[in-house]
Order: sequence, then C-alpha cells, then structure tokens
Amino acid sequence: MNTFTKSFLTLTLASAVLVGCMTANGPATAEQSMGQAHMTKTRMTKEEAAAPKLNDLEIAHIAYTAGAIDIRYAHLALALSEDPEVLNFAELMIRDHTAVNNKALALVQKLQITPQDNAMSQQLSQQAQQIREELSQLRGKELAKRYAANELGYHQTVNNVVENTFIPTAQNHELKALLTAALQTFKVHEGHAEAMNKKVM
Amino acid sequence: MLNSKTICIAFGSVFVLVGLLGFIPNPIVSSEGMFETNVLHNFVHLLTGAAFRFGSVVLDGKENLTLKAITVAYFGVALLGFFTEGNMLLGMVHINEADRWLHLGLAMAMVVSTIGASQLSTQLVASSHA
Repeated sequence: MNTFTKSFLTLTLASAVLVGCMTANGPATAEQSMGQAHMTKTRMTKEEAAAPKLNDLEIAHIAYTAGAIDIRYAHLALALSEDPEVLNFAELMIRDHTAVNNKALALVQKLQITPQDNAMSQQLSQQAQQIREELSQLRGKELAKRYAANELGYHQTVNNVVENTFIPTAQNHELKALLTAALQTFKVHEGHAEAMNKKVM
Repeated sequence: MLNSKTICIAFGSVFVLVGLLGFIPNPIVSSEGMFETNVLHNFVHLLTGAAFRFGSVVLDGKENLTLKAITVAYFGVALLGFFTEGNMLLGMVHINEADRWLHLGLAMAMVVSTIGASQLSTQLVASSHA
C-alpha cells in the first residue's frame, strides 16, 4: 500500500468519523425540522393548546420541538443581528434550551421511550419556518424588534401551555418534574424578553 | 497528479465556493443552513480559499509550506471552536455545533493531505537521486 493509498484511506476514515459525528448529533438534525416551530407557539391559541388530549410521548415531543425551534431562532439572530441585547439573549436561549433539551434526551434514553410526533409539533414547525423566513429578510433595528417581540410572545405562550396544559396532563413524574424545572427557566426568559423589548424599541 | 499544488487548488476552490454560497440563502451553508454562518464567517471562508489559491499560484514552489501553514492555522481555529463559550468565535464569527465538527473534520483532512503531500515529495526526491 503506497503512501497515497494510505492517505486516501485515512481521509476516508476521517470523513466517516465526521459523518458519524454529524449523524450522532441527531438532535441537531431533528432541530432543523423541529427547529422551525419555535415562533409558532406564539401563534398557538389556547384552544389549539388545550383541544387534543396529549400523552406523555407527545408532550415530550412538543417540548423538545419548542426548545429546538428557539435554538434555531437564536442562531439566526446571532448570524444576522448586531444588536448586543439580541446577541446576549440569543446566546442565553441557545445555552438554556440546549441544556433543557439535553435533559429531555437523557430522560428519554433512561425511560427507553420514543417521543411521538404529532399535529401540534408539526404545526409548530411549519409556522416557525414561516417566521424564520420573515426574520431572515430583516436587518438592523427591524430584525431586533421583530426577534424581541417574537421571543416575548413565544415565551408567554409556551409558559402558559407548559404550566396549564403540559404539567397537569403529564403522567410520568420525571417528565412532570423536568417540565416544572424548565418552566422556571422559561419564566426567567420571559422576563429577559420583556427587558429586551424595551431596550430595542 | 496529487501533490501540494493540486491539494491547495482543490481546498482553495472549495473554500471560495463555500464562502460565496454562504451569501445565498440555502439549507447547507448560510444564516439558515445546517452549517450556520454570518457575513464574517463567509469572509473567513473566502480568505481561506484565497490563501490556498495564492499559495498554489503566486507562491510557486512553496505550495507545501502554504498547505502546512494553513493547516496549522485551521487546526487551531477548529480547536478554538470547541473551547469557545457561546457561539461567536472571537466574538465575531458565528458558528454552531455542526460547524465545530465540520471544522475539525476539515482540519483532519488537511493534516492527512499535508502528510501525504510531504511523503510524496520525499519519495520523488529520493527516486530522483536513485
């Protein structure tokens, strides 16, 4: 085997490792499809939130989707905005929602269950995609204001749904505990979002 | 023939293309892509590509040095991504998790290419002396 054959094989192996890493990073891929749902929650009505009787697997899927979507929005904001308030908030969203979603994944693995895709998750994703497209067209002050307004509305809606629908409905006590802990974080986000809105106006 | 020059040209072309692609909305490399980039990130791709092309075309005979220098720098940047808290490299270049792994993979590919090119040139020198 000559040097180039060895090099080629090594390169191939490295590529395989890279692909493996990307594949293993499944949540990131999932985030992309789910990740568009983030803002969607802003538009979710109380009727839509309360109407279907959700099981734990569906709740887990929606909660993860919502977090992943917020992460995607934050990355979009980081890429397009120069407003320090927006950048700081976006970094916070990525850090906190990643942490919560990682805990959710750990719980899913521990319980050996598979979160169940559902109409609400799909609706979140579809609507979020539209808002992402809208945000991606904006720049400067307009982007900052739209992102801030969307984050506030989103967190208000999500917090309402988590507190009044998901937590009371969830059967598994570990899922309930996770949602309860996450809600505290999300309420802090809501406060930050309010402050951000005042600053970017 | 695979040598330092062709490797530099190949990497340079890819980086320039990826840099340009970043300015066009697409699902792979852009502000909305799997590998999320901002304007500065795209410029870094263009500059990296330009450096490869410069080394391969203008610095004739120093392609190996170019390859080594950029590889070292790129490897450093790739590692920096994993040590960076948050998602703004040096506070300016936006990256995400997928970017971090891609940078590391590319750095590894560059290292392999550099080693392969160096060994080839050594063999060529040895055979020419034989």
